[in-house]
Amino acid sequence: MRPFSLMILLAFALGICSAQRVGVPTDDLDKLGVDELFNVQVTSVGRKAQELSKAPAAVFVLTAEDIRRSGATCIPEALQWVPGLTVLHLDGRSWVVSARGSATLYSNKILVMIDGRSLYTPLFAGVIWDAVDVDLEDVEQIEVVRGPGAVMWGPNAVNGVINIITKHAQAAKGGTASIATGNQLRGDAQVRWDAAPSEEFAYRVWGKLEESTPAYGSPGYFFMGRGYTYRDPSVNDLDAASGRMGFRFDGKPDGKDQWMVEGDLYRMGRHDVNAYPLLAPVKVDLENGHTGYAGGYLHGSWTHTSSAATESVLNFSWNRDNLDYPYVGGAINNLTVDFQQRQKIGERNEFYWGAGYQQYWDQTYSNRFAAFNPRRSAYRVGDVVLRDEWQFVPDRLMASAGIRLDSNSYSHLEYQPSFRLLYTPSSRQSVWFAASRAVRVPSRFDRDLRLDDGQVLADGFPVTVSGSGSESLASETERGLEVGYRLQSGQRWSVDASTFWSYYGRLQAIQSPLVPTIAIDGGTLTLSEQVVADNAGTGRSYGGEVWGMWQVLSGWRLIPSYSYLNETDWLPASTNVNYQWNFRPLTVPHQGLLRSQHDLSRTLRLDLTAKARSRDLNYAAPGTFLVGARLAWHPTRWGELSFSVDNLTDRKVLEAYSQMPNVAIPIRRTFVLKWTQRF
Amino acid sequence: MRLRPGRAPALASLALFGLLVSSRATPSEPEDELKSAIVLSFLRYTEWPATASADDSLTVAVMGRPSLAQVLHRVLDGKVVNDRPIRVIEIKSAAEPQPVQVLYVATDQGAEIKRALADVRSTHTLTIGESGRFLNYGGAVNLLEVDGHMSFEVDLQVLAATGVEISSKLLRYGQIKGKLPR
Repeated sequence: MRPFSLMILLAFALGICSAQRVGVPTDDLDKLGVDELFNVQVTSVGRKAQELSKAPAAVFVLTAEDIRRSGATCIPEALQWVPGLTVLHLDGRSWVVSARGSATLYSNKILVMIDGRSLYTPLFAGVIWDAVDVDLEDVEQIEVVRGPGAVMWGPNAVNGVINIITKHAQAAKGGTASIATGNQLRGDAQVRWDAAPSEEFAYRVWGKLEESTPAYGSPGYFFMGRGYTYRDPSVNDLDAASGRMGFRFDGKPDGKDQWMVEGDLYRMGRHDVNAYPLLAPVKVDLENGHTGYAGGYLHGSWTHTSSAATESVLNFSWNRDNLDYPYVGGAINNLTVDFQQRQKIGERNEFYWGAGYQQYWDQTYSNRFAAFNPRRSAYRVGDVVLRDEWQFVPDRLMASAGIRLDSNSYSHLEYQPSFRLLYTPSSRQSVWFAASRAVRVPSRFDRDLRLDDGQVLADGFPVTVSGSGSESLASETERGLEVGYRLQSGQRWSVDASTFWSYYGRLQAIQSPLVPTIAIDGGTLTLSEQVVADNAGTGRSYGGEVWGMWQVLSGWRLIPSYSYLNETDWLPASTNVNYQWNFRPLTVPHQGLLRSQHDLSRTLRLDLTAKARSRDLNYAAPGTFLVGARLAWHPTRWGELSFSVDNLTDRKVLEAYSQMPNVAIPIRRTFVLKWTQRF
Repeated sequence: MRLRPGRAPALASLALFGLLVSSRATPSEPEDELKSAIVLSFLRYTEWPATASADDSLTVAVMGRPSLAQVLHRVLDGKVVNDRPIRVIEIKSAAEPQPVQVLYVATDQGAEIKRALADVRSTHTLTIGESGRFLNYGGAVNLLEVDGHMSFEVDLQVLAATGVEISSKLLRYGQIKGKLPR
């Protein structure tokens, strides 16, 4: 009840304030001096952001300027500043990124896309963040939608969608080069070249090299299951290096057509330290290993606008990745074709329909600990999406209803409906409501994994534990309700608040027999236990997010946010099997962020950040308060020198654990010195 | 203040009231307000060759996006710069016969831009655009976004040909293209 009362109070306060602020923006803009005028941050009043603010969903947009000013060197670092996302550092290369709960290393309920191409891998349901990289200078914006988004975006968008949108090749002309160095990021060099030889065609080519050394002799932690954590006193080598190059071509042959082709090739290698279970809770096998990734993708899209009322988009993408972990590896391929059409029917009705096909196939191998059975597999899914938007009262009250139907080779037919309402009493504010159902389809990992969990001491006897996935797993489901409110008061400030309530069904858990199997093998007595995945779990979560943006002065902006999450899950009581969670999510109930973007002068920009987080409930990872700063100097329009420090007070905090045999290390103070030059 | 449950409905109705009484401005693209304010500073810091015209108003003609025209009207109408009242007019094409001091071409269609620029070539008109290739087509000033701030590029050669002079107080915020003929 309390959050609700707070919301009301907030809405009241905002409503009255906004009433007094009518007409302010234009009045104060034209009173600005020339110097101030060219210092106003355009992104605070960004066009796209405003379009998105009319979406009946909890949307946040991280602009190119936000990303640059955050000093982020990779996408997850930039995502830390999105209200409502949980972004936790694992080992300096891998990240936990999730929205509204279910936060694990490979968070399986959030969909991540680059220009509409899904990065979510059907191999183990999640995003391999350390293999995801783009030149951050190329990113136009990152749109983050919290809550179910299957109808709008695609499958497995249960708790949210992260959509990374890169710039059109036309957007920048000429070249940009940057070099960076620091204590963790040892070296980073990026070059890109944009050109538009004609009105109809533009291209960009880019390349990037990076080397980092995240380990610093800190202790490393391995979560071995059943409440047992192994500590390695000193981790010294987690070095990683990567190289990547890519291109983007944009064409506009006539007023009605637009096409885009982009792709990249990459290779990445990193040193690892892994702990494999031998005898819990006594002994692990600690081993140094190497992980290698290599691959690339090709993505094409074609948009045809036959009239103002009809627009069609055809997308095609193919990517191939070779993943080589110390324990398991494989070559995975993913091919998608997708068509969507938007049609205005009459004055008040807009109809969308789309159909798509995805084929995923892989070939895996195993070194130890984990294996896939069968080793090769293919997964196919076809989908149809239908959605309609009615303007009950034009520009005031809009309703949208849609459904996504998927037929896949694992669970056959899945349905994901969504209903949304948007009430816009004025151009500056809106209230929205959504009710949706979404599913998370089982992955290859869930179905075909075979795990060697070593031995566990039970009453002094070692029991050999092996785990396996199950082909009878069904999709995890979510039914959710959301309400949101947002208000933009001209150039000065805006506030966005949303609350949600979700119920999860058929959550994946594991079951094991009550007593181990006893066998006599070559004269010795052995005890063994087979652990199998099933859908026994249920869960519930509720919470809310509120964030604001306040342009205090023409050159000073504050962006505060707070999010709350209450996540509970249950396993059934049973007298014939033991139910357990495989790896419980990291649950951080309270998170607060504050960014200050200050233009000290025409050439100096100062960014200060603060981040507070409460204690994680499932692993007791401590709560923390972290501050950071970045100072950027633009001696000319074409160059920028920046120095950024994260975790200024050098708090050594362990933020997350891995559910794989990979190490987790505490964060430390990091700094990056960077020079960017356009030419 | 502690909220008692009984108070919630009253607060809820207040909240609703708050929603209803707030601003009723027409929808526009917020960057347009900044662009309009920049157009105003161009009017402040630009000198046009003296003409024999009896009408001493500064006329800003805008073609292209109607939403921008709306904002220009709101920001500029009724303002006076250097004792000259500002007037904003919307035009379909620049061939309409009346002298204007500023022509704002709010479109990115190459053919339209070329036609508009050709129509004002021999007049003392400051042309302002917002398309990546505006200067290539022979425009004088192009508004663009650099690092999250508005900026502009200006072609001094084109500017000199029109006889319009922009004060260095303003020019120093832009990127200079083209050399002044000596």
